[in-house]
Amino acid sequence: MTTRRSFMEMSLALTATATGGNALAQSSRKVVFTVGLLGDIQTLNFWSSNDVNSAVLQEAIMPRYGYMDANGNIKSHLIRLVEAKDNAKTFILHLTPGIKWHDGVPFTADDVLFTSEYLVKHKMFQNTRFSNIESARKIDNLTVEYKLKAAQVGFIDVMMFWVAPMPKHRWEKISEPMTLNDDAGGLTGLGPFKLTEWKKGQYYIVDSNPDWPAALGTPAINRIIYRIYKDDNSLVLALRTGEIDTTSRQFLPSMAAQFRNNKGFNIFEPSSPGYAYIGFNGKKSEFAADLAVRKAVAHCIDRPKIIKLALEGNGSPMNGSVSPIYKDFVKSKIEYPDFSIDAAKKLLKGAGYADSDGDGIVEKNGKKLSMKMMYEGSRNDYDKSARIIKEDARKAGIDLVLEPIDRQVYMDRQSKTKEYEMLFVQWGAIVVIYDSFYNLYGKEAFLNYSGFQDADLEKWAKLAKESATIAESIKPMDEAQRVVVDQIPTLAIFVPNLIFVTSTKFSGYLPYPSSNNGTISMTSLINLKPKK
Amino acid sequence: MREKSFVQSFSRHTLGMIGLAGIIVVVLVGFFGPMTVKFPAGYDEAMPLAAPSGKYWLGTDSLGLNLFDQIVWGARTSLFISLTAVAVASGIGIPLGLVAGYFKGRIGALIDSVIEIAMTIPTLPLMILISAISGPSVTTVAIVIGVFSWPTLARIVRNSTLKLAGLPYIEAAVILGIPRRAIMFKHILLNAAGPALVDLTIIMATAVLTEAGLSYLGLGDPNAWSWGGILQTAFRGGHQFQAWWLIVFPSLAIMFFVVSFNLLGLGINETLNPKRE
Repeated sequence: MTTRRSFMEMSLALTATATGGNALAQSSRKVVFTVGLLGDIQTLNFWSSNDVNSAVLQEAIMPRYGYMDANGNIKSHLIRLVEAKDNAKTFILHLTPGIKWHDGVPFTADDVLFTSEYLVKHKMFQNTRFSNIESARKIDNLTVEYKLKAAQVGFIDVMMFWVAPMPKHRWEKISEPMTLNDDAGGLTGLGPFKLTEWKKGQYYIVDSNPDWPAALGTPAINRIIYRIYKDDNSLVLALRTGEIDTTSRQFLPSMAAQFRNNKGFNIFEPSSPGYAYIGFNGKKSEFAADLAVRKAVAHCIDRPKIIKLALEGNGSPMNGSVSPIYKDFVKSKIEYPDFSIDAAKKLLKGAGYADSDGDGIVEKNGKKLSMKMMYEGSRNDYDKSARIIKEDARKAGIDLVLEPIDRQVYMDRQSKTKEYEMLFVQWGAIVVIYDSFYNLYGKEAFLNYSGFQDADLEKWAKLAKESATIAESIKPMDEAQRVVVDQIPTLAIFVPNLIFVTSTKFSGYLPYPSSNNGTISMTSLINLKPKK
Repeated sequence: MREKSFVQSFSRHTLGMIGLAGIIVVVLVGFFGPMTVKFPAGYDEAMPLAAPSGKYWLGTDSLGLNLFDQIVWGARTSLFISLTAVAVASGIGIPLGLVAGYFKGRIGALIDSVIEIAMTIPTLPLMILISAISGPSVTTVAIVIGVFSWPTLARIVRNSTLKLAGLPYIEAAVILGIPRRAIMFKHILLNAAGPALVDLTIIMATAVLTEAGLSYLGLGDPNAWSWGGILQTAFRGGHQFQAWWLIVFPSLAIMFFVVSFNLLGLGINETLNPKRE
């Protein structure tokens, strides 16, 4: 019997080795938590990408300074204390002691200072979070002082929620960080887990970090395996069969319905601070550069219909450029053009577009009004939304050519090559809205993918960000919103309701409101325990 | 005389005639269906995932579009892909096969080697790669399928040409000074058409299957309706558990198309080679 069992164990180990490498083979002796990812991680260079899957892995190995709790409040973990002085113009950060990079080098004030300077210098992800800094200095190894040019009430919140520190000792030698791809060489992490093995397009394995300070919580999980799946349906099947314990993506109601009333699964339904939108790239399409066309497209967005059919009713319309979850900032009801095919037709006619050959698509200067709209092909909700928008746009004489593409290609074209005419995508989380507008529309902002520039928008978004109080930011935010709905660099569509499904093999999930990683944030991963 | 006897013989081949009838149905649906059935649209009055009924004969999809309309329009896409693939494969495979079989020598050997190499290429991964790079488009998919289907056709034409080129009537044509091109295309190709025709029916069927496969992998054209695309949308949305009709009807359409062409090919083959029957 013993021999037979050993043989079986050996076979299992060999099978695991064949399918996933040595680390997978050892998984049977540890507490292993498995997460399903929809599509691959774009890059291990987390500061060059706004990729939700990268953000998921980042939670385990390269956490940001802080996090959002279940109530939507931003808390710190890498920073133990923040002192705000001079009416939100000076901030002193006290770092949590005892944290080490995964190569053993201590995490210090030098890393914090380096990160803020480096992100701005190289226009990397979240660069504009530090655009208001007048001076920064190290007080001691664990204390940093930032003095700002203007008061900025949201400075610390956005920094903690969005920015992960960079290991100075590694990155100071790198001069072209945006083109650096750590996919082959790995990275020097900082979090409660270390990246130990990965195969692009297949899996990423992280193991618990023995150097992680106990004061921040010691994970009960020894290993997390992130597996890559091609589409929502594969994720659902993997969850049903127990191949994974949870997914990083929210489910549509019809998918979640398969897990409701099933004791083997938990369902969490936090609200979303993100939203879906269309982006126009006037640098790649003369039509996308034409305000009349952008406004006409805006008139073709039937939000209730999209929510009913594409989201299966699980969301709410976003009629303006600020999510309705920010109640103080939507009181002025500054909204995009309403749904009206006739208004779209009239606008196009007034701008010189006409259907001369009777095929239903208008032309100008001999060119048909046709634009390609790219989106992640694996996303069912995106595909459905795009099909509905295409049909309504066609009624107005606009030909939207759907371009569902591979996630990796999508991310590359969105963030790096900017090779797109229109895109349909969803922000995972837009937090601290009065501070984030500048991060979306500022001329230097990483997230301003199309490089849209408008002097008024720049001015008002900057003023909103540089407010001493939230109340002060409302007026400039209103002005900034007026520019966005008038110029339509982006066109918000809907706010999804989030549905996350997890197996009950683990308890202790701390779900927080984000589409990025709602149930598998760093705090959740530390808190998770296998059920006996 | 021979043509007449072929038609007479073929008309007595039951399976071949069933295949031909099936193809006529597909052609009629593909060409004339879109003239009578509206383009799948109308999200306004949509009834998502409605089961087959008097109003929706084949049910509706997750966006409420009529599945019957999609399958009719999908027939046009399937025909377009099949015919384009056949045109591309024929355009490459037939001339190369003729030249390789007629000239023999170095040119023949060279073309033969190219055919050999082309036949060893793993086509599906390459098709996936090319479709992914060039972007989703029905025309691209059709051309890609055609480009990877020519080697078999070239081999068949070459073998037939080799056999025919040695026959006395070809030698007589050469002695009479008939131009090579006329000999190749009129006297050889016409007589080699039978086996090639059989292969073309197989390419037609394979093209639709391949398109369905590529669409299922998400590499189809989202701007055109195709049977594979319907399946892919259903699976991606996880609707296979809720709406059987989204899987069954497009699958039946694909099966009907493929079986019809295969039966036609079988009929032609057995009519031309009665001994094999």
